[in-house]
Amino acid sequence: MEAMIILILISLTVAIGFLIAFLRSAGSGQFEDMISPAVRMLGDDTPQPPAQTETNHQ
Amino acid sequence: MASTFLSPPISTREPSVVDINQKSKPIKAKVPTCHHCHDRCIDEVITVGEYHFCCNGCLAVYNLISAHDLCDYYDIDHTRSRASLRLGRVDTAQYAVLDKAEVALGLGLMSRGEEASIRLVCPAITCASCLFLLDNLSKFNPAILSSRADFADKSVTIWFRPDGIQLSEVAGILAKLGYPPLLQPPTADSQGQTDRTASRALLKRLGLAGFCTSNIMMLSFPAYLGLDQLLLRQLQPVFTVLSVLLSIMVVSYSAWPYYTKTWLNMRHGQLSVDFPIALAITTLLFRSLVEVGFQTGTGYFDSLSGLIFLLLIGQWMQTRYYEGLSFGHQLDQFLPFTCQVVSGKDDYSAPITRLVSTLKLGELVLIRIGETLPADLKVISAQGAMIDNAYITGESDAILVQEGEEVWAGAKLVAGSLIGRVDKLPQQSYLAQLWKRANQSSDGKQHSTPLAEAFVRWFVLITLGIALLSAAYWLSTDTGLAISAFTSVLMVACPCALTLAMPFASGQAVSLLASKGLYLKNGQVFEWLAQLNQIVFDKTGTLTDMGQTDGISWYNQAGIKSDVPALVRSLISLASTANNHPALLAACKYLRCCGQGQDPAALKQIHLLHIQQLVGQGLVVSTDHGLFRIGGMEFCGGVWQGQLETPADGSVVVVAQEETILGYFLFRQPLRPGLLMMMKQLASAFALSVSTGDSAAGASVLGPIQRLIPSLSVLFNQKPEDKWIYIKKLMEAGNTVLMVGDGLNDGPAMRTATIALAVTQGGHQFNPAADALVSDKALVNLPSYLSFAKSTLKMVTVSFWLSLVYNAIGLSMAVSGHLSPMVAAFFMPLSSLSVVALAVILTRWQAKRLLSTINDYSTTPTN
Repeated sequence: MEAMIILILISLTVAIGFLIAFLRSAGSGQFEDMISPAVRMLGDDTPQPPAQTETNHQ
Repeated sequence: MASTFLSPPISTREPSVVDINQKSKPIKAKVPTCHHCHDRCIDEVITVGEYHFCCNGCLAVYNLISAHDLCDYYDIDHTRSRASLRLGRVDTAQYAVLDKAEVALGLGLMSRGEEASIRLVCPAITCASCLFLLDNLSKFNPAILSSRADFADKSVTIWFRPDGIQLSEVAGILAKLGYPPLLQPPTADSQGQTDRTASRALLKRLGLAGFCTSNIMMLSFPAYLGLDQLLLRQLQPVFTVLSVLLSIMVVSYSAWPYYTKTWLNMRHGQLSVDFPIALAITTLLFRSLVEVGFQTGTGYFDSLSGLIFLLLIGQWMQTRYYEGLSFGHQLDQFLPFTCQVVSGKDDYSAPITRLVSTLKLGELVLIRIGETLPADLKVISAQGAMIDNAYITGESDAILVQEGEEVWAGAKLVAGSLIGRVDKLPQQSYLAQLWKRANQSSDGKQHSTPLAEAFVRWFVLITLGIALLSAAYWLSTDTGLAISAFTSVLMVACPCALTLAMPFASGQAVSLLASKGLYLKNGQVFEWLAQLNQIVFDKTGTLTDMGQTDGISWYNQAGIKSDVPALVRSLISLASTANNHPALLAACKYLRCCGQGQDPAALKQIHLLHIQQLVGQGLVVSTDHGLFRIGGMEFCGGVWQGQLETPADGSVVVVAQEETILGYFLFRQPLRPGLLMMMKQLASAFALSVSTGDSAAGASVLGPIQRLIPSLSVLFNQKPEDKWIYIKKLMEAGNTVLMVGDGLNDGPAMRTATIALAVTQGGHQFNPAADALVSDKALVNLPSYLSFAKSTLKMVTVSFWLSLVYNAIGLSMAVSGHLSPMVAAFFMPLSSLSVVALAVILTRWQAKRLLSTINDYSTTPTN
């Protein structure tokens, strides 16, 4: 039965990892604008001329 | 203006009652839809290739967009009306002040090395296409590095190279595309900030509760299924420890607000819905801990966390109201951001642009036509200045100001120009006082609805009563059973109808109403909407329509209503290009709407030589066809053969050529179409009153309504304070009042009323006091909205009863003292969910029954 307990503990640990990820993303406001990212994703990719800007400002 | 004469004439005018929020559905196939803004081309049609445009502005934006290869813009969102994108006059010169370092910093410009970034608010953002376009600003100028639009905030953040493009040019690009940025400092919007933190915290609590619930359920599953006893006995202690840990996490983090709120309300001697919840949670936790501690059972940890999870979902639903509109706003946003400071009384030549926030008492400010006054001013020099106080006092006519008069911040200069000495700073101005009053009186607003209050009071009393009775019953026989029965009752009695059914039903109703043109701030407003008994209307802009041209007509020399002669048409068109007098603009719009003035052949060729505006009298226009006068009767002189009947509710503008009078325009503020029918319907269910800033004579337009509804009470000469006192009296008499108004002059009254409904013209107008917004064209649907709210609340009451039935079943099990954890774990969430489902289904049914008529209703021209 130790196997069972270890498995449960592992599953809990993994789940807690996701929970922490969720709490962090909720805290940083990722769920506030639910519209723009969804819309943005559907647009066609147009090559961004100055590639360096993306890295500098995000 | 020139384009007017080039475009083909259209003879029919459309009925103006169209729900702007409907997906564009051509009502008459004849009227094409603008390719750019998706609005119907009413005034004029410009056809380029296969596309139609409603105005030159839209065509210009189309050309700009297609020149930069961004026509995807038109493929993303075909349907939604973007009427707010229609350009007025694009005046990019106003952005020149942005190039001053202090102004830019005031707007929140951030510089880092060779790059700078700024966040600009563009209220015109309405759809997915807007996001696409604003994300691609870098295509318009290589010095714009990247841009990112935010739909929720209606803002766009732009990164650019200051050495390649100036901030004013950036703003200019936005304005040319139809998204003029608001010039306002990034407000330390404390209200928005707390809202944001609160919603983030709620989301985190919800996440944690969901996580714990699913894990506890997983751990309880073996016990439900009655797996191998031996296996269970070995694992159970581990499961129990984990469940206890998870439950404590849920109660101490996710459920904590219920305790703090209960405590706060108890200190004020109130009983809120949080109390029975906190009680149930506490009982569940303690009983479970005791059972586990004495090893008499497995506890109710699954029910406990499931309950909290469900409750939090209900709470979260409550915050999900329609997000596309902004309700709360700052005073600064109504005042201009910059102003022109001059050094001397007659010094119109060299004004210095300054931030309004740096104005000092006694400084001289130059106000030009179209500008809003930044502070209370004492006029020291006025050149034909007319100001429109509609926003502050509700008077509909622009008034002429003389030297020495005092004028208020927030008023708009509609003609001429003036220099004024700063008498009171923006923050001490009359407008600011009104604003403060508006916000103060909101604090007195009740925050919970009577239905909820009554429910909670009875619920708590009955639950506690049953718990005590069952405990007393068992006490003589079995103390253990008595405690068990007492706690079981408290555990199972869940006010889920109130905490879940109501938020879901009203959330549903809010979004349904939004799709029909009425935007509510939140679900609570909806609950109040169902309980109204008194409606107070403001007149100007609410009952009457300032934008309507129905009210303008031309009378010829004989005083007979007729078509406008070609000479006058040409004259008006010509003069309006040179002068922005409001009467001229209105006449010009009238000509365009009637299709008169569309046909170039019918126009007389006249040439403007000189135009002069005489203060308070009218215009003198000299042309190659002689001297014309446009203005009042006395001003134009001449002998009048016909009868000039000046109706009390209208004003007259006479046009004269030399000494001969050609005729006159009669301007009248008409009632909104369909309004009489609306008032008649409302009168059967509500007490109605109209409160107006105008005098009895000026408001004779209300006559038909008064004749139709004898019980209508009309109050004249009402200042903002009077309106406020009137509403306050009604409220104190125990009425539930809906105030329908438009300007800030209604602010205090609207804040005091139970619900404030603001009527907006055009896409994006804000009102700080409003609980609900309705577009001017959808106002006539008010009876439908109200009856929908009423019947929906009845439906919610039905689901209240269902939840009572569930509670009765649960209680009958609980009073016996035998509530098995498994039954509790299934019964509690199942009952809650079915109550919610019932409420939502019934709400949708009501919407189908009552709101589906709105489309037909609003598109048939009434009266």
